[in-house]
Amino acid sequence: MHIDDDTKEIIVSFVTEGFERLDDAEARLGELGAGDNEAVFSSVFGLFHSVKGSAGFLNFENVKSLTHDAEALLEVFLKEKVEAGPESIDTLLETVDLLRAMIEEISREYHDRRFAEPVQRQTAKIRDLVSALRGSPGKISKPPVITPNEIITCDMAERFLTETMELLDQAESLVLEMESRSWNPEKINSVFRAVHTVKGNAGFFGCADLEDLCMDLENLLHQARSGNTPRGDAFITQVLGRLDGIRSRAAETRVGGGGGPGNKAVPYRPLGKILVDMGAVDEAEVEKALEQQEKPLGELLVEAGAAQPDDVSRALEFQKTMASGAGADAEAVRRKNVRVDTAKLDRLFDLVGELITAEAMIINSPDLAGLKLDAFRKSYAALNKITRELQETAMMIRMIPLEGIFSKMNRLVRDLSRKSGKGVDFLVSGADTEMDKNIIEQISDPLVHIIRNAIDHGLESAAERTAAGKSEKGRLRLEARYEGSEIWISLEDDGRGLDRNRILAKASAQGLLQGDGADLEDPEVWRFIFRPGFSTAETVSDISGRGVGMDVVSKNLEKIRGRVDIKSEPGRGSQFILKIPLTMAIIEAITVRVGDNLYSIPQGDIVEFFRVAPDQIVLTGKDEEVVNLRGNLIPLVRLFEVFGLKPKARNVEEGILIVTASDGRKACLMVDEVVGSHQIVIKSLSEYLGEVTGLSGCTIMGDGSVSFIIDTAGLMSLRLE
Amino acid sequence: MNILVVDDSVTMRKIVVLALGNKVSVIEAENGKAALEITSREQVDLMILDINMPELNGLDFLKEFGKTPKAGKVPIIMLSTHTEKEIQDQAMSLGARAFLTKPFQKPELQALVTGLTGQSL
Amino acid sequence: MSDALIHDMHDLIAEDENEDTQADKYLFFKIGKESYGIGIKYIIEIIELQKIAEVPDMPRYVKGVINLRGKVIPNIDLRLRFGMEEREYDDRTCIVVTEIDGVSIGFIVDTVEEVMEITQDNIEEAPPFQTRSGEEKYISGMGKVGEQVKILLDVEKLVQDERLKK
Repeated sequence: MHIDDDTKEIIVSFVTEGFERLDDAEARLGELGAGDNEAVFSSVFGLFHSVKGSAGFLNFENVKSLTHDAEALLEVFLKEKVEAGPESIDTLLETVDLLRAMIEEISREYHDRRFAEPVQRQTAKIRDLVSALRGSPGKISKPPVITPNEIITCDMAERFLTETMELLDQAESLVLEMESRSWNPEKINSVFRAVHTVKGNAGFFGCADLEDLCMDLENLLHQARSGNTPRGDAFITQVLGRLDGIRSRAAETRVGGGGGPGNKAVPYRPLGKILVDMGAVDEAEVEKALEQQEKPLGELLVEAGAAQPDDVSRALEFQKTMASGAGADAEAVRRKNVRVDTAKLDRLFDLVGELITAEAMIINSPDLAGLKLDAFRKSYAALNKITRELQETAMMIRMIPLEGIFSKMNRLVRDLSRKSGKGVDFLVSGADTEMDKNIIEQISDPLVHIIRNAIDHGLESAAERTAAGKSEKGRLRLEARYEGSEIWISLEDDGRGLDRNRILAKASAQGLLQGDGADLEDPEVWRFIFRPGFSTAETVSDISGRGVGMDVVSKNLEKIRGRVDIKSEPGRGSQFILKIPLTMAIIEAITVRVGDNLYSIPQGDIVEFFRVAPDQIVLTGKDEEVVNLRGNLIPLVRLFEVFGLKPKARNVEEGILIVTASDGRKACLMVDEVVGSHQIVIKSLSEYLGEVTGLSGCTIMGDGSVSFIIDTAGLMSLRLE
Repeated sequence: MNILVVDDSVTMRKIVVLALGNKVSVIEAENGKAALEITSREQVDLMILDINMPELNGLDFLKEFGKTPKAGKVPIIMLSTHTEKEIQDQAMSLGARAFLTKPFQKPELQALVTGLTGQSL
Repeated sequence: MSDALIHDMHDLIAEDENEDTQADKYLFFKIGKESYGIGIKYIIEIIELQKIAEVPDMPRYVKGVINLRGKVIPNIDLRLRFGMEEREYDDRTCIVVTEIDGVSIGFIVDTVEEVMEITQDNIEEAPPFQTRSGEEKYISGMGKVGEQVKILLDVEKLVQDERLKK
């Protein structure tokens, strides 16, 4: 089959966009049960819809027919208010997988023809499901509608709904905080205020049911405030449940153009005007006909030969539908987020870099040499302050703390713990660790899957735990921290640990393994659980065990050049560590000079720095130098030797020693001088250079010069092993 | 002739641009909000508008655009997968001049563009 | 190299963005007494020499990296790449910034000369000779311009190095 370049380009864009949309859809489906299901369905609907649109044009019939049927299934949930059970969610996730497989094929073969059969099977399944769901007596209720009037504009109503969602989010995170920390009357007051505001607004906008729901919750909170309700776990669950109720009601609420009789929103358009607009007659003809109007205008125009009968009947039809059309369901209000194209952010980044370089060129311009420049220097200082701030802000824009994603996990753990009936103590630390927004998006799915896996399979039931002499409640610890040139996000459970034999048996059954695997190291065995379709769950619960999931972990991490390490001990628990390179991240670093080069050392790796007296240097038996620092012997690493530079300071007492620690090992790095402490943006060294031992990347300093970032751990193993 | 193509899918925009050929200059916008901004500062002779978009969807765009001084002066072709009559009618009542459903045929779009602007592609 | 000359070069390069007409154009620069050409389509820009930060553990000809408006670009000293003797940089030394398969790389050359068009039928295969310095490995052909014969370099071979492959 010949495909021209234009079409190829479009297909490439279809593939990229298709993967993005499917990843989004899958992520959203993962949120089901953790909040607003309707919003999830409607956004997934939108994603399928968009894929369908392009697929139709490109003649990807299988993609088109599958997305079409998937939309139909979603419509059952959205329009008919039928509850989505686990079966439906599985079906949707399978659909996403199948679509992904098709798009992968399209990226290679430029067609999806080989998928006719699986698609047929899947669409049949979807259709069966749809009819089964339709047959069920699902909840059918009319969604509430806010009708704009003289006082309430559409805009106001939409703002109200957005604000409501924000207030509810706020309230929810306060409630969750109360749970994890302790009871706090100020917090409950804040929750009360948020709910109260929603209630007040709901009254104003005529949403009586929303108002009632808020009132219920207010009462509950009020009782708790006055100490009449037990304030334990059950109470929190109750509050969260009510918040969900309010949220889903608010999400259903639509801003309507009114509808039904008496609606004045659509002005009546005279037939003559419509015909003129259609280009079927010209204005003069209409005027002429109107002047002598006795019969309906349409007939007159046809009689006068000025219009074709067909045109007139089409215009009449249009006039009619226009009047009724305004009563159609208005779009549900969606939450608004600011979306910025990352390409624009990157451009901003580069521009700020250029600005700083240009500024440095001005101030260092030889033309200025020898001039008395007091006023100039003062203005320059002001300019410089602004550019610095601009640089910092530009850096920060892309960085967001992990807090948002961590608090989502909080909710997830809570829900999973309820569903599985396993008590979980969830400890979170390092939520203030900042990461590039794009990277955070990529780790959300992996985290969800790892947490699900830990609760479903890792943690034992209370009875099993007690029998094993463990606390009844399982413990789950989520932690983020900077580790050298990486960010480590670790999830640790104290459950039963991974079962080596079972994993090997399953791997062998799936044909992933030759032999019995006895010679494989543990880490190699653990890697099997990231294979697509691999799941060792004995019982299939509604939350995991589908066999789709853990492979997302490794797939997403690969995208951001991260990796995942697993440690596991039978009976003691498992630890999953997502190791994500810091590229694009910002760290605090100390910048030093060695010879003509600058090097930046991550602040977190630095213990202290000092000048040394010659008698503090001791030679070991192997003729290696160590520094005696208050009785501790620390190996000395002269950076100029490691990096092959001509230093200013050759003798140890002339330089500065920096004590670094990483992986529990210490070293003294000798440098010429310390330049300062900066926040730096980490850039990777050129692809051309590959990996350079001892360096994790580089950064561009304020004056435009390049500073290399030292990979402390790498440097130590280079030098000390 | 400047044609503004508004669609959140870059694939769809590419498809439309290809169908329009190279006799026209095309401005692209990824949602209604961006489109409003563009119409406020650029000369636009025709718009091709999707409905389902983030930020500001096609129908809301029509409402907002209807309030601007250029309302009614720029013919708008809706291009959407929506086949529901109510939505099509709503778009028409909000000022759209034609409704084309995805997937469309190239000649259909070209005929509409020519018909609404009087210029051949 | 004077600013004016750099501007001229840029004008020459920017003259026609069209790929077809660029295909036959070459930028010529000097290393020692010899002049070499590389295809214009690879060239992003020509800049004056600037401060190069040395990267450890690299072949001798990889001089280090520069910051070009926020982009970190490695630089190859062509003199050293050809195994010629090192020479102090001066005000005529230039960096020719190229992009090859999406990777930006700068080439440090003694001086930049001119942009010239050499059509395909005026290019002959390089004769199988060996130079003392060994640059023949990187020659893609010999271009005839009137009576002159110019050496055309194969940029992709220039950046390939077994040692840098990971």
